[in-house]
Amino acid sequence: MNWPRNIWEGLRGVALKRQLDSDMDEEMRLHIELRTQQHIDSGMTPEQARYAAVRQFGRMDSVKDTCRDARRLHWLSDILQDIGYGVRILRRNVGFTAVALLTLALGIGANTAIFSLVNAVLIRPLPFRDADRLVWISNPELSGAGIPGMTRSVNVRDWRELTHCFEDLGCYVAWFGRQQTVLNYNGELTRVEATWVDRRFLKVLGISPRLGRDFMEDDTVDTVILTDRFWRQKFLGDPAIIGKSLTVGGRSWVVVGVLAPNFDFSSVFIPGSKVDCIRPSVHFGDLSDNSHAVIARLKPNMTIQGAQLEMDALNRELRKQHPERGSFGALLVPLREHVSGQFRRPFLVLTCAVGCVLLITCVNLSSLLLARAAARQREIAVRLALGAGRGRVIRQLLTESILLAWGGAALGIPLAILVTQAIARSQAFGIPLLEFARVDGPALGFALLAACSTGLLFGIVPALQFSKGQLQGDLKEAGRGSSPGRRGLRIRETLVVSEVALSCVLLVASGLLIQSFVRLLEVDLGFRPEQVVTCRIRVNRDFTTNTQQVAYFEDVSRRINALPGVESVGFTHALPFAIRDVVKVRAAGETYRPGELPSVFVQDGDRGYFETLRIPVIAGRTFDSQDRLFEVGAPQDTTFRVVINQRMARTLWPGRNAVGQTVFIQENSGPGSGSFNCKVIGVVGDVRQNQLETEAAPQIYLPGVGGQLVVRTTQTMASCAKDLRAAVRQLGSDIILEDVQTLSQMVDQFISPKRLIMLMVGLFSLLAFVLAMLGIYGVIAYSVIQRIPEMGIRLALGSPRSSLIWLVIGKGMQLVLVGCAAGLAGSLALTRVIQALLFEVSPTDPLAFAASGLLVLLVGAMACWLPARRAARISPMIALRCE
Amino acid sequence: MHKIELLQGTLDMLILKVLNPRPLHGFGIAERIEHLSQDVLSVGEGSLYPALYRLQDRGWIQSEWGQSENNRRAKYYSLTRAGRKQLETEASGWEQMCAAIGRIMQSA
Repeated sequence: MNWPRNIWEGLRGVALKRQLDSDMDEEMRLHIELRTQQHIDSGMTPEQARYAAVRQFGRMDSVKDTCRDARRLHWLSDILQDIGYGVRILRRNVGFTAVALLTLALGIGANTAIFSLVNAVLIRPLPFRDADRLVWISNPELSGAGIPGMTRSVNVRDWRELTHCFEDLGCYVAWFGRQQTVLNYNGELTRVEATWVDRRFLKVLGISPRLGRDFMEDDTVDTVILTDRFWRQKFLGDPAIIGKSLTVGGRSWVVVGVLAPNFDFSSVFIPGSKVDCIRPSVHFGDLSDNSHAVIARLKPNMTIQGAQLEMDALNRELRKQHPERGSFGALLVPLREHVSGQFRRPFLVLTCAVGCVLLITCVNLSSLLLARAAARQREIAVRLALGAGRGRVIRQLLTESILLAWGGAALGIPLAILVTQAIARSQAFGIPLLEFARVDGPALGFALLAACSTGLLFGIVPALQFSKGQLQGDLKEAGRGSSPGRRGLRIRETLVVSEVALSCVLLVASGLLIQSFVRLLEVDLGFRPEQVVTCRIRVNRDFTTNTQQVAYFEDVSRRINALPGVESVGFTHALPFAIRDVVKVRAAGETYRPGELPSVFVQDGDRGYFETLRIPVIAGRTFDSQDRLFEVGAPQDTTFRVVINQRMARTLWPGRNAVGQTVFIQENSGPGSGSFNCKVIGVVGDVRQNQLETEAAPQIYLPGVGGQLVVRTTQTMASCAKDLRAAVRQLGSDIILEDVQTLSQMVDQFISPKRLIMLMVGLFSLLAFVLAMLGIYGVIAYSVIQRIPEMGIRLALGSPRSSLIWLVIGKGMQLVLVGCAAGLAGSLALTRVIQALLFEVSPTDPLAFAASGLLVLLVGAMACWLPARRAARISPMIALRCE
Repeated sequence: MHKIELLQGTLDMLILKVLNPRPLHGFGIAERIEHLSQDVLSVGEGSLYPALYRLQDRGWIQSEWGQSENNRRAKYYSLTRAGRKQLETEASGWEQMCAAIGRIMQSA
């Protein structure tokens, strides 16, 4: 039968139900009449004949029902009937329905929200054309401490010209990758963050602006493409902005385009920060720009392995031809992997946790439905007796549970939308693409699917259980108004045990995650971020000499130092956790084999920087105003004074005093290329670099002023910021403060993805735990009600009440103990999965296991004690009358 | 008379067969099968009517209201073209099976 006809007949079946039923009636009545006549003809009395005919026909309702099923035409009316009946049943049990809807809404809502996040971050293709052909190319020679190494633009140019595996390559400036400046628009000042990209960057990604045009090869650096968000916020989505020029930081930028809303650069490449516009600003051929992140588009049918081989061969050649470019290489990974690969495991754990919550919800509802057995058993036995087939009854019961699940989804989806929006909008979590998380079509589909399978899952056991036709027993039992026998109880006990076990696993996992998060917060960063306010300081002034520059910033520093509450002031260009350059160094008097020069991170600071961040001075001294500022173009024989960290001292001069030693910074490792002489004047403590988890790498500090201002203050950030601005205004109009925040906030950004995961897993395990405990309570309370007559007898015969309490608690604790043991055993096997997410905590950490087990036992005992107490309070007379 | 139950799956074929010459109503079909089998086979109403609805649903038979022999409204079933074809298929399948089973039963 084809579908359209099926549906048509189904609809007709609904519309003409009465007609078809009466037709069937008439047909069967005729059958019985004719049969009666046949019997009369063979010699029976009319009564006998009629009786025999009816007997022979059997249960007419049952036959009719089978006929309807056989025709398959009544499926729709059956469903409508089931739904109507289900709604009536559910409305009659308001308490049960409310509890079920609420837990389902939580379960399905949480799952939908997590699905939306996972979909945005991990599943949905990146917002680029044929995104699976895009690869990220980092420089493995300069990678370190989790920071991908950057590439010189000359290499990008050569790769573009000499390779055959790529359609094209593009790059953006990743090191110090954002320019913060100020837009003057109709006299109103706005801070603007710009990123530099090369002119083919957008073409490589395969995206075109929603308005205007892409960059062209001859565009000057003063053209700009705005992000959709900035365009809407600042220019209220005015399309006339294209072609206008904007006054930014004293220059004039021409707007040529606006990016599409699904790509705002930062969400993919610098999550957790904000980019307002992109500018073409890559000059190929400059050797000092070791700061490019490279993205390439593979030719169709080209594999990443093949491209890697070609690149390796080419780079060997290039290194020979151009020793002045220093050490470089290319490591290709799929762009998707680079962008969100590190979040796969955390989100997997999150998905498992939230799935667990839904599973526990199912188990709870299953057991609630079974508990209603007593009430429903009789009804169902009657239906079976009246001729309903077992399949029909199962379908009815499943319809009820799926109805419930859909109700739960209807409530849960708004919840999911709220949660997803809150997380997507917060921007507090440095997770790429997270801000594009929406409860969209796929997510709604997921919610529906989850609802259907949830309904089936929690409905199937009770449905199978109920529809087992032990008619007589059920009718009798139910008629007596007592328990429906032990068979339901056994299943419910199994359910509770599994529920306890599941929640135990979740508790252990969240315990481990919380512990490692706490350890993470306790990590000695090497500096003290508390009470430090930082901001970018921009001075539009040309200094003719270094001395002038130093004097200027010393004046700034003095004035700020005089502000109320300020303890110390310093400058740096690279705060801890900011991306910075890596260089190769060589200790004077040492020989290194080629390719074995140690890499160190470069940063800068003045004396105040170490003071303000409380970076301890281990040996020697830090900078003073006499120390010459570092310049790239300085003459060959200049000696700079530098401060290094302990790690670098240990690496270069193991067991020796580093102070007074000379080190060469090999900007480029080739012969004759620039190298700077540096004299170590002091050793300071190690500062964690990129991730809190990893030990500090070797670091070298060059003397520097300006850039980022750090201020240690006793004031709050708000009042300090106000004072700072006031002080700076007095210094003149050519100095601007930008991006005021506390150092703690900055550090926090690096912990935020972990915080999100930990918070959610913690929340889900709490939810699961509460649900599981409600489950235990339900089962115990129910078994107490069942045993009230027995308790009455025991009491009447003189059993002390306390022994009744122990009887009930003992029964309940059996389940809790078994579940707890199973859960802890399961955790032992499962927590290895989250090992990669843990920090300084073993996946078999005894504390997490013991605490979770104890918690489950304690709350489990509580859940048993409440009904037990109630049982013991029963008056024997009332209990016996229940029989 | 000792009656035996119908072999599983044969009822559909028998219905198609007795409907082949002319349309019959439900009781007529039952009676005809019993009569043709010389009262050896009995057709329970509990399986006859569902079978009729099933065959109709598959498009092998169709129904029409008409006058019964005792002047009552009765639903007459008749074969459709697809039903005739089906009957042929089932009949030849049946013959093959009978022959095969016969051979096995005689062999021992």
